Amino acid sequence: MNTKPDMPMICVKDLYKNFGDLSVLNGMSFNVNRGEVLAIIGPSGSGKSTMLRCLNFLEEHDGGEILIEGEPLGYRVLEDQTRVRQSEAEIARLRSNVGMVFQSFNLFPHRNVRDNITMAPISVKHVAKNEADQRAEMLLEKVGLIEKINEFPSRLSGGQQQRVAIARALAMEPKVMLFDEVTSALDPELVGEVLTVMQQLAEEGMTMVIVTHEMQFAHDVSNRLMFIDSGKIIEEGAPADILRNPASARLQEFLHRFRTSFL
Amino acid sequence: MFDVFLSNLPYLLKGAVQTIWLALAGVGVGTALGLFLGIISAMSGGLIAGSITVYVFTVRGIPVLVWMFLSYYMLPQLGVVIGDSYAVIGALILYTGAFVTEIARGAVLSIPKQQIDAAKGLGMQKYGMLRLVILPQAITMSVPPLLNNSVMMVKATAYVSVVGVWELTYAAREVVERTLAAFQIFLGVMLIYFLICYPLSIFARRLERRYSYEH
Amino acid sequence: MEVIIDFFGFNFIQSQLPRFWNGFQLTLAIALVSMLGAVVCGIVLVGPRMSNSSMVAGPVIGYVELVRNTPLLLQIYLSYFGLPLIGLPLSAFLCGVIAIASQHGAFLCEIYRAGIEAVSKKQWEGALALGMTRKKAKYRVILPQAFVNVVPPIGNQLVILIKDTSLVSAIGIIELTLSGKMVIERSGASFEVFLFIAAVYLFLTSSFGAGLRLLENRLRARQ
Ligand SMILES: Nc1ncnc2c1ncn2[C@@H]1O[C@H](COP(=O)(O)OP(=O)(O)OP(=O)(O)O)[C@@H](O)[C@H]1O
Ligand SMILES: [Mg+2]
Repeated sequence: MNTKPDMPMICVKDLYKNFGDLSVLNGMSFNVNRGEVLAIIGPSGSGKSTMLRCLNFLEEHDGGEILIEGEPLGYRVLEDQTRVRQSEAEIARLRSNVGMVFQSFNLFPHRNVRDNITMAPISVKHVAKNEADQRAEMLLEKVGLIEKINEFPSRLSGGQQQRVAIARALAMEPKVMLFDEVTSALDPELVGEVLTVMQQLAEEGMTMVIVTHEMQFAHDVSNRLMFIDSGKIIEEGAPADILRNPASARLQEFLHRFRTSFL
Repeated sequence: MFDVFLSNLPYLLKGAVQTIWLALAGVGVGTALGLFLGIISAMSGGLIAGSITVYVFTVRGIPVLVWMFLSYYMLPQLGVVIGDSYAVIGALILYTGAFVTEIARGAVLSIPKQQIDAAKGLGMQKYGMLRLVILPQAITMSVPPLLNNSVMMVKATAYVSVVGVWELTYAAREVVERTLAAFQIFLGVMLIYFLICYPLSIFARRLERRYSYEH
Repeated sequence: MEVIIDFFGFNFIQSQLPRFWNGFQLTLAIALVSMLGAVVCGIVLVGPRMSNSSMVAGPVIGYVELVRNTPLLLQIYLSYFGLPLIGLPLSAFLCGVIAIASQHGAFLCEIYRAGIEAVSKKQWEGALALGMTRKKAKYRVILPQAFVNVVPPIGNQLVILIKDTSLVSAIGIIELTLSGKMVIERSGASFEVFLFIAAVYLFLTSSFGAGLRLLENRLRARQ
């Protein structure tokens, strides 16, 4: 793997996104550095998911630029400022460096757990079957689900499905992982097992961007925390500072609704 | 270019009137029969529901053309002399009835159980429940499939020409045999069928879409 | 016993079995070839049908709507009497198969489309996010799931197709239905012949239906 240590993992410059007349992202700029865990919080509808989905081009941004390790994602900007959409193959290649875990798991229901994990490495990266299988076993070991390797997704609990989804994303050996409210669809007693896996990943040095409503978890796991509202970054900084001493009225109000005390 | 079709249009339109008549009779009576049987079958169990199931299964498993031949040959031999077009209408009724039975049964059974509990909670008897709660919902829901079924049956009226009953398709064959203008006549007649069927299809689709938004 | 058997014309039907057997084989052949044709026709149509460009989708939609709202019998006549006029004097068998396959192909096209559209958009996203191209996502993730969705409606459509083969009797193909009619008209037999024919069709469609449900259960059981 060719790594470029001098480049930020993700660089977002002045990002804009509209859905018809609705402008959802209004000029966001930030970097995610290698090994950093960035947590994003914000009210519902503030554009968190949209922003995250832009980071692997599931949403196509209308303005600004996204660089993954310095490489532009989705569009190239020519010298005369016109934007050219990248080829499908190019987009797919860039996406394979960015793992994503969804709120609704999105496992493939027609394949068992093993195939869910090995499908993309085999078909996209042309990894040999037995190598992919070994890696799948290793990853399932890691998320504590090795005994479910031959099950179909529908036979797993939500928490188990989400852990498989994390293993599936990791199997592509991404350089950064995106998590979009991955515990919101889970019963409360299943949230912990998923957060534990994410915590472990963070400790191993994975670069992560986490959208979450779990304030305590955001506080514990992240190096940096960002509060967004109406498609703009309102505050960012060390999680403890931000959560304990919110500067803006909007964040104060937002945190007040969670009624959580951070010490 | 369509001169042969146009000059024979009055004759073909007479055939179309006969087609519409066959469709109205077959689909009208068949739909009434099917609604009745479907509701009974959903509301009752045991022998009645069982025999209705057998009726539906048997009728639907056999081509409508075979039913037409069967009634065409069978009724006279059993001493029922009603004329060929009435005999084939019998087959159309039987066939429509079987499909409509399924539609009506499915619609009644798909009413959520909570609705029935709610009606019971209001102290309704079986008949009141049926009339005030179940049927209004079930009927609204069945309109699109009933319309689609009517389209299917309008198309099926063409098959009576194979048995020898005169209607639009039969008339078309006569004209083609006389003029040899197969393309324009058959395409033109297809257009006439299309003009009858397509509005029904569109209407059904509109309603389907509306219902799926409401739910 | 004798009396009852004679009442149903059993002995007579038995004596005519070779004719019915020929008709039955022809019905089976037409059904199988038409099924193949219809399945392929639907596959060919569904791609352009789902295209975003109305220049591509429009003609297919027009074709599908025309075919679905006109009687199959007319399409059979059109191909039987019309194709020779444009220099394609095909056999009656082929004309019948072409008409049946193109009518049912149009219905199958719509069934495929519904099956593909029923696969959640999230499955596309799951696959794309893993770095698959749209093509890979389509063949490895979407279509296999659509396949499970469409097996039951395809089956229903093919049962209708089996029944529709009876219509080629109108262009003189002596399949099961026409063989029944000919036996009646040549030998003055009574309507019981058609009871027998009806029973054969019922056997055909219901055994096909039963096989289908077996397949469905197999497919569902895996998920
Ligand atoms: N595909 C879409 N088409 C139109 N509008 C959309 C689409 N996706 C999102 N939106 C709108 O964009 C806005 C931001 O949505 P987004 O999902 O990014 O919010 P969010 O911050 O993730 O909220 P939540 O916390 O509820 O998940 C919302 O008003 C939403 O209705
Ligand atoms: Mg969201």
